[in-house]
Amino acid sequence: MSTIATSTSVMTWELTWARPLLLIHAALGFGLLAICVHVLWFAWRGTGKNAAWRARRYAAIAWPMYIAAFVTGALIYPAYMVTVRKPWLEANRPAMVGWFEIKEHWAALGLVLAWGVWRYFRKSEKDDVLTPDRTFSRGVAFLALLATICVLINVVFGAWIVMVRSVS
Amino acid sequence: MTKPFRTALSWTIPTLFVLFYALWMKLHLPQPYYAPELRQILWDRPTGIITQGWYGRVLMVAITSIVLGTVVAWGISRLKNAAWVRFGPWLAAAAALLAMIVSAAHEIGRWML
Repeated sequence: MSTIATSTSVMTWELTWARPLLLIHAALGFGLLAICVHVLWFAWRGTGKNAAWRARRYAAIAWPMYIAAFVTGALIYPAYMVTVRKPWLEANRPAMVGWFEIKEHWAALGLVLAWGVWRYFRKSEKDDVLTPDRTFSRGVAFLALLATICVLINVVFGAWIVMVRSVS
Repeated sequence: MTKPFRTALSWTIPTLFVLFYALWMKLHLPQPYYAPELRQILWDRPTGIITQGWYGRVLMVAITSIVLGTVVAWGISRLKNAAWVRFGPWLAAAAALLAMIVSAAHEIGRWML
């Protein structure tokens, strides 16, 4: 407990900005989920020119949005550690700590999957890779699906933890 | 597919990233930010409370996968048969699925069992 007390006395700006950052993080998360569903939808619809254009547009929004959500989450993490996880969650709800850690891992994995999908669609028009190759386009759609699942899990578990105990 | 190298990059880097991310700990590879003296320089916070190893892990995995992914993409783009490009995203998806399962199993074993 003494380590936590020391941390809270040192972590001034993290604790001050934790709640505003959490709101931004949550808004980005929900927005990102909506965008990812759009990318998935148009990626799944295949190789038509309109679908490809839309998928590229949405993927171009999703990738920077993902980075912003990731960075805000990383900034909140120290405050979560000293005000939620260490003093309360580990003792009372250890399973929730596990779910939160899974969410964090999947956020990192989803980030690079979103990059792959964005890069694919960004290059697709110039390089003419969106040829009607069903195996390839379905593979990219599956990557988009996994990225969407990662974001969905992050939104659900993130909201769940906040409902139980939020940073203060 | 006129630019196999650039197309291959779209999935070689994600494939290597997710695999290294999931297996980094199990391969006993270094996580530089765990070094206490380096941590004090980079981030002046009490030791033992912030799991900064995760940030170091992501950084190292990103650097490694970018370097190796570029080399691998260049190598396979030199192949005469470009049929492999079609299955690249599936390879990345399979690796990501494996990484998701491994990381989830690790946390379930650590916190829920």
